[in-house]
Amino acid sequence: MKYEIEAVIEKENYSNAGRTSRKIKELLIQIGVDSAIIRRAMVALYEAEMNVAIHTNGGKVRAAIASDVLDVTIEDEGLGIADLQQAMTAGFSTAPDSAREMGFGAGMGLPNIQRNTDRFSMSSTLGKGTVMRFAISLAPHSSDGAVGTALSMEPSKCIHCLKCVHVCPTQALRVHRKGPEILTHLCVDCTACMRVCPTGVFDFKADHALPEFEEGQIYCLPEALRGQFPLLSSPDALRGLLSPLTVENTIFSHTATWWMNGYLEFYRKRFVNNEFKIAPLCPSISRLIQLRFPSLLPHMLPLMTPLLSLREKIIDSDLVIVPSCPAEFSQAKGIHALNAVHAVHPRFFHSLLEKRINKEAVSQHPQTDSFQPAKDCLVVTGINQVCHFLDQIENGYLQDAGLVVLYACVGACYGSPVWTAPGAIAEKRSRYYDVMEGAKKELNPLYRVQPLMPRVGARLDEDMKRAIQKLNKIDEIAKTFPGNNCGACGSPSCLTHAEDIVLARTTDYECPFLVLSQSNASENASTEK
Amino acid sequence: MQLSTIISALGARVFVNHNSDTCEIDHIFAGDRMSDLLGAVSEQMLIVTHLSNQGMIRLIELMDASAICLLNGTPPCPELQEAAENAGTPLIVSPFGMYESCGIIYSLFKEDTSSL
Repeated sequence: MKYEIEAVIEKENYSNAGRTSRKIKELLIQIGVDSAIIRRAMVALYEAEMNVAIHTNGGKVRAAIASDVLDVTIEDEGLGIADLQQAMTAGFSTAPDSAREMGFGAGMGLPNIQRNTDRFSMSSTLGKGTVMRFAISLAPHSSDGAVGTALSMEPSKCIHCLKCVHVCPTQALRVHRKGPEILTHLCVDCTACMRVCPTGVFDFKADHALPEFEEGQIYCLPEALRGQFPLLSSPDALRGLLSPLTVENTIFSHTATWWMNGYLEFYRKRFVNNEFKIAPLCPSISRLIQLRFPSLLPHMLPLMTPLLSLREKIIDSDLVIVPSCPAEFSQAKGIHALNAVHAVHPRFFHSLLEKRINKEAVSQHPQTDSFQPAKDCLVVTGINQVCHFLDQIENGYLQDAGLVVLYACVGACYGSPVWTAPGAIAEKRSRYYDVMEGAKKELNPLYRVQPLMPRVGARLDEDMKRAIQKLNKIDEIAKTFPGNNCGACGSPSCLTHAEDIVLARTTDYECPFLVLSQSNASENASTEK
Repeated sequence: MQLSTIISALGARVFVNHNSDTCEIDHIFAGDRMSDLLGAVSEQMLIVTHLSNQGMIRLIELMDASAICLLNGTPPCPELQEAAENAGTPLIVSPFGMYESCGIIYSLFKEDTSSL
């Protein structure tokens, strides 16, 4: 559901500028948006409207209100902006005296807009005009849409092997008698559980069908899809099988990653003393840091993930995304724009290709001479390694690590559990063409406008007094457990088991060790008699 | 601090008197640059400004400022008064300039905090 509104902004008509803002404000009040968020939206909208009235020959404002986001596009007909960086500088202004008399022209408009939005981008063509886009999240504290999980489960498949409980890096999983349970406030969508589960309990709810084909629709496919079959390594071969997809309406999602790597190299050159920075490429890692390593948040580069940057670039088209993991899926779902976003499950695409592929044809080996891996950039993949690495960083080691790229899956996105081909092979197959495709597409990284905030785990109780009582109770119960954190009860550690009991997450499954020692004791007692 | 305290200290003329007795003021922002005003507005804030124009009308409509104080005894334009009336925003005019008005309000707040 979304509500759209479109209006014209006239040149130098200062008294009309702000009308659309007012209309939108009324709408936001009607749907019950928090007043602090409305205020932010109004600053951005009014500044943007005045900008058009002051600096251009008029323009158009287009706004869409969906349940949790206000998305605004403002296009103008004007001279365009020669130097966007300069225009964004606080204090820089080219406003005429008429505007200055009104109190405008202080050179704070664009910075003001950026400060008050959750997503902001601007592109300009000299002599033609400027397009500005911004979005404001209407739900409090969810500007990244990062709370909760995109994982879905089929509890009936669970064989209670407890592998997922042991492997989860954030202790978000429980397998009690009633079946597996994800504590959504702790899950970061890292796919560790998906990878170890022998029966495929975990998945994510992307569509298992293609949406109806429409003109102007763009398909965003993961590179790893090409790497699944030996014959598909060239983008053209893949498109051939997926007709009616053509060069115009497909884009490979790691094109953005590849481009971003180039940007990171550029960024790295400006580092002083090889300062420690984390590149936010894997969305799951950003969430992990928010939850478990909040002290490292200042080291995150202020960029959005490649997928979001890419979406910004093609925001005027309907998009069909094939996310390669639940984290990417939740990002795809979290993109709110004027146009539709469909997410199709990679396994569906995989089986589609399997049916269509000509298995008799002979594989052609791509020339890999031109491939150059990113230089001097530390890459750590696999959630266990990443957690260990971040632990050490947090303990003060490795501060000279420089630029670091972290991925939750072993072998980056090629190693996502949705793929069947081994990550290393899939990567090798599609690598060469990455460079070719990536070089063709110019993509600007999307700067993060609101800093990533630490994510708080759930509180024990709304009331602090009761929370402290519960904390004491947890301690008390935990002391009765052996403390070997074996996980056999279905909770990852003795402490979490005590917490689960106090918060009534489980009523069954006593500690197997305690049960054993108790029965031993009673046996001994009976034999002594 | 009550807005009425500020009104009597300034000897200000009240043009729009919507709930000015109950209006609580915690912050003051003085300035004439629109972007600064937009960026600064928060709840329970009195805005002290020379601006009496279309921009201020929008500010009242869009930003829910608690109260506005104009300066130099210059009465507001009818449109601004109307907008304030509609939005329920108290609108007062101080007989003094920016410097003196702010000085008076500042010392009021200082007394207020030192008496605590």
